[in-house]
Amino acid sequence: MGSAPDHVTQPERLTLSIPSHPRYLRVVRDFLTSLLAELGFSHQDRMGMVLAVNEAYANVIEHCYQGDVTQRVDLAVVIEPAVITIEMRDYGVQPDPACIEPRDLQDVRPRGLGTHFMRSIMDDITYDLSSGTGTVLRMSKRRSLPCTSP
Amino acid sequence: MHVTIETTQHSITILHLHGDVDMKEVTSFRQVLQTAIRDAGQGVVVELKRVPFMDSSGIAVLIEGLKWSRERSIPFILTHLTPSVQMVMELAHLEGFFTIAENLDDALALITQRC
Repeated sequence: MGSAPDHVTQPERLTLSIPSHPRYLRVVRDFLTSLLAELGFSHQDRMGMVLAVNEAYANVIEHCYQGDVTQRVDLAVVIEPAVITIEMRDYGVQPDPACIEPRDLQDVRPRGLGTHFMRSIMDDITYDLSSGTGTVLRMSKRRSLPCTSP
Repeated sequence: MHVTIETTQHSITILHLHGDVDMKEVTSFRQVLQTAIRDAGQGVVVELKRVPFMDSSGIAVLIEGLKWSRERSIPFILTHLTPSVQMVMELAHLEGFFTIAENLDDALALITQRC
């Protein structure tokens, strides 16, 4: 896991507003890969978090917007010394809670792996449905802080 | 992403995948894989060494590929897993579900030994 860069003392918030089109999946992955490298996250952590966000974005396109590629997804990355939080806001159909629970992997079938990946990779995931329209998904990953000698 | 296909002298179909396999690419990948398995002779090998990223939609197509191959009773082997593909395999607990060979020669040997 990455160590906090020296300059991160206050939360920093980076935002990106993207159409709900699969062609932008790679753009989001590239953006996050660069950002997480800049923040000092390991290659393994970068791969995991990029996969988790890719899955969340794909779920929004497929389920919340039901394949409508003309809608909007707002992505925010909040950088704090001890944690990085990725927020994904959509304005589509709110998910059925049963569909966002991870499924039993003993049952090998093509569907439903994305949610499992997200929960396996990130430390904390919440779905905020309180706005009444769409969902705010928040995914957090704790950062390792530099060790201090006694 | 694009796929190049070759057939060996032992009628084994090899699919070489190039590029990211994500939601944008899976519809065409699924079609290519389904056709390749339908037309394959002794078996199918999917070479993944030029796949820098694969998500759950790509894994879903590989699961379907294995099922289609089983229906035809032909082997379906993955080879040259990149770190990204290895990670999604491990997260999905699928390492034991697929036959995975380290390289193309090993994959072809597994199939020809079986024939």
